[in-house]
Amino acid sequence: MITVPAWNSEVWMLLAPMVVVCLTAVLQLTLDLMAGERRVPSAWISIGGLAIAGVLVLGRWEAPLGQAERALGGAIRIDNLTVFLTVLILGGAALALATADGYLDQAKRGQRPEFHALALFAVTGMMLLVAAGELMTLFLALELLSFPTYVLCAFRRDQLKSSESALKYFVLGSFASSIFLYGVALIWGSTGTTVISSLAAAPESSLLHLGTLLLVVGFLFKIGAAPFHMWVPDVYEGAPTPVTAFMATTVKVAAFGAFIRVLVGFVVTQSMPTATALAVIAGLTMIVGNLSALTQDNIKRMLAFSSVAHAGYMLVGLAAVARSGWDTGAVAVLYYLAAYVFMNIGAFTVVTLLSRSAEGELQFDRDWSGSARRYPFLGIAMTIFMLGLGGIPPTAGFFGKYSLFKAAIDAGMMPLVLVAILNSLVSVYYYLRVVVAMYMRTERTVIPGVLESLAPARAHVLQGPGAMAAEEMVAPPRMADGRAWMANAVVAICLFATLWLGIGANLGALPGVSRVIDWAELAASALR
Amino acid sequence: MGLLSSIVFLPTVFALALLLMPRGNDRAVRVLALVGMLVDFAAALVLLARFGTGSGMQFVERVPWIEHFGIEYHLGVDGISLWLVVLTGFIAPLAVLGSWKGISERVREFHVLLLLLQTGMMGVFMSLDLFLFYIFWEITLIPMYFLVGIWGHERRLYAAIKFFVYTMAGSLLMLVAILALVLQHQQQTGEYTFNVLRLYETHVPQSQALWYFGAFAVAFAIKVPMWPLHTWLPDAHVEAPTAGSVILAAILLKMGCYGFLRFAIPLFPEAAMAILPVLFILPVVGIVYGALVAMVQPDLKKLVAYSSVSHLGFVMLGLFAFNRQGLEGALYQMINHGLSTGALFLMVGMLYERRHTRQIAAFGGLAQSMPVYSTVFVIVMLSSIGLPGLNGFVGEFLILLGAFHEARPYAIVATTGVILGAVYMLWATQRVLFGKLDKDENRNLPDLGRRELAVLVPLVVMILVMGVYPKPFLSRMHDAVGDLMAHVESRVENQRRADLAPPAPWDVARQVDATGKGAR
Repeated sequence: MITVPAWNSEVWMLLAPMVVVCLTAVLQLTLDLMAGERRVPSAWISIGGLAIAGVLVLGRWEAPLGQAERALGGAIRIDNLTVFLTVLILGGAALALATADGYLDQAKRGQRPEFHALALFAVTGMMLLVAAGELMTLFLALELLSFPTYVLCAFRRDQLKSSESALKYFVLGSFASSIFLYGVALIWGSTGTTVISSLAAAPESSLLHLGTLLLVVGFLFKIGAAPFHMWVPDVYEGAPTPVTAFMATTVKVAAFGAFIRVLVGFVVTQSMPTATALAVIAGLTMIVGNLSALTQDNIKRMLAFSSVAHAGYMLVGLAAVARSGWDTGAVAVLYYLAAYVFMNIGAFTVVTLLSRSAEGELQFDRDWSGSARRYPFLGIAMTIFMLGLGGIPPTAGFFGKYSLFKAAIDAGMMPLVLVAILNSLVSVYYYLRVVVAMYMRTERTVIPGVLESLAPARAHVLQGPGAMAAEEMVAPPRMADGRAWMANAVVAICLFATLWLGIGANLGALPGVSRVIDWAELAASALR
Repeated sequence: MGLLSSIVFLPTVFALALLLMPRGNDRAVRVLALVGMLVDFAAALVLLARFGTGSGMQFVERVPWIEHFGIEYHLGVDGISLWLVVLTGFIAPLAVLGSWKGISERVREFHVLLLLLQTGMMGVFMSLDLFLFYIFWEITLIPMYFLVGIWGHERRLYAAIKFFVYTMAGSLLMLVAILALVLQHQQQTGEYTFNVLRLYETHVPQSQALWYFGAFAVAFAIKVPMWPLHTWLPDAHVEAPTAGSVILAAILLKMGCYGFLRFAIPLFPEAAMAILPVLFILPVVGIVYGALVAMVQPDLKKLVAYSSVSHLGFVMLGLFAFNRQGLEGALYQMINHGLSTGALFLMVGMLYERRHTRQIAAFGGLAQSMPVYSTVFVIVMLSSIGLPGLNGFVGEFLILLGAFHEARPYAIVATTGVILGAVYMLWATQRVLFGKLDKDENRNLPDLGRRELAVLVPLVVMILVMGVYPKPFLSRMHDAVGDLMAHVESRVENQRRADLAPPAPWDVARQVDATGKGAR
């Protein structure tokens, strides 16, 4: 039973980061009303708000769990794990939102403040999700994060795909939420509590098992694990690209964070074959994700399936946690999440920069051919992101996979590691396809209308030096043709992080791989 | 920064400098890249000059890197890696010079990738930390993939992806084996380390060691390449630009052989010895098969590529014979192959630049129109066959001698490879250089220019020097080869004793650990 807290200053300080993000969202809307025709620097306001929240959260790093948390009856736990995940979420959100203004301008859609406000509300939900120590809070946080995301998916009302994406996400998401809620109800019914820490000690019953199962299914849906991944490709493809970047990274961090907490909190202690089940789902998710990604021609769809596959890799870490209870699995998952955020936001930002009129030209095999020549920086960056997602040194993706595999081997799950290895190999093929298109094919002159009608033959017609001679008609410019310095800066930050989290040594204040792992370990120790 | 780090990272520094250069000046890019490679070679020569005798690693550099996992930045050189480092330094400037004319598009990117590749290869030969080694090993993959994929010939995309995926498959298996080995070491000693020299002492139960050795062996065998894992090689070689083929043949393939010597065999000697019969069969098949396939190739470059399969079969045969002659012969032959096959690829490239074809049938009688070229070609070709007085003979002789002691039937079959090698090489030479000059296109081909001579003369000189005076080369390998053999023999001996009188000390130690009743 949760006691009603005394709302003293300490409790407010505990909630301050979430309140700040929420207030920033409100500020965005208010400014929009007052600004009239003037342009509001929405992105900067969002980044500012997220930064303040970040500072406030970092203040709780290594802080003892005090009176306040007890006062809230365990509903909110701001421990190291929360801080680690929150910082990742805030950072990911700031990077994803930094590209939003340019995108919306190019899409010729106003309503920038609404976009930012919705995203910030979702961020509040994520922060609450990773801090929740109680199942009802968890559910509310999940809803708070989901609803703004549904709306964001539909943000490009002018595009059919966007609306389709939102509707699919909404219907399936609500379905998953209700399953989750049903699980919570059953757990409460069988044990009389919803606080995670007390659930660990609750007596087991078949009702509790059923409830736990439903709860886990809800989580598997949110992280997009097979066989609950069907929504991922359509939603990721249809949503505006910055929203996809946002969903593919921060939402996943939040969902995985909460999943770990629940898993270690009271699922693994029950006498269910959790480890085996997770291992099977991990294997299935990897295989389904990678094999489906192989045949995708649309870059966003390909990245969507790749993110399904990555959920599978991280589930390998969770399976290791469930099997041996060792922290290495949790540490590996946390590190992987950090690496994953940078690689994916980087990749999606390149997608934003290279698409024409915001959502065109995403068939990378032909639309991106030879683009590395015109955009050398984006070429290098995309190559590194693809290598990173494929798990090839010297990138963060490699080190993340390395630590996941290590955790699984430590836990004695060699067959699962071999499945993961084979999957990495398959994934290299489709990641390299992007690189092949950007570097190794000749540039294509774009003649709208004409090209579209020529179907497959056109690739041959318009390749080689002859293509240059073809009459060049004006195509809508790519975002990268303009002065998109903010998006380029995001790519640069992600590029640096992807490399540095792969091979960086501790250099003074600059944390290397080792120190980040140390932090992840401190965060994971909160699970004990 | 130590000498070894300088050798590894000087090319990277030059690569960054190239990236900062203004666009448009291709000549300056080439010159700067050449200077970078020459400086790197000079550093490698300093290493050679300062290299002393005695066992153990020299010029060791060791800095903690990712402390959390016990990963170190750990470099060192011994008699096994020394010559490979020098060879890498020697070949690279020639590769740059050899593609002076052949590469006219995206010149800067080309040279940046060559320089990065150089860093990766040097790192592979010097790393004494398994994790560091793995990273360098994978890094070499990326520039080569781009070199083949961007500047290659018609089927370049297919070849590039095949090369990448094949190598990656092996590497990933190796990664799992590395992790499992390190875990094993930690369970035995409580120390989490990737230091190869410490891991040499890890005892792995035979049933697991076979798997681990298998994983390492597959990774390296793909790179060597050993039959039947060689199929990526002809594609990559034929499609790669000249510099790519040269470096692929001269250095990258050696990384596989080196991997066996430094990692696979000394880490799991008992397992290696247990499956020795298989390890003998594969190189012998490769020798004969490579030679037979080379014989029927209409494409000169493909012929040279298949001859590599055959020649590296010899190297692997000597390596697995695992006696002094075999090992030193294998090491010697690795350098020989780098020189002669590197030279052959360069010369095929020169022909291609003139005629834009590599079909043997398109040539004939070149000895009349290109006398200097033909002379050099014949010398290199004879070195590749193993004519006494040239370098190839020394290596092949030592290898066959070593193999003869250990596995006579295999050595006898392998010797036919020498004969077959003479057949396909002489036949190809005859069709290209001699006979009637009956094609008009070939009548007015210009002979070697000054730049091309500058590329080939150093190679020819080394071929002659190594043919008549192998002592300075062999003497520097001596101690390291002795160390390796002593290590493997003692491990195998221990194993035998353990089989006779169980339980072995490490088993006792583990049982004590398991029951928690340590006698401390």
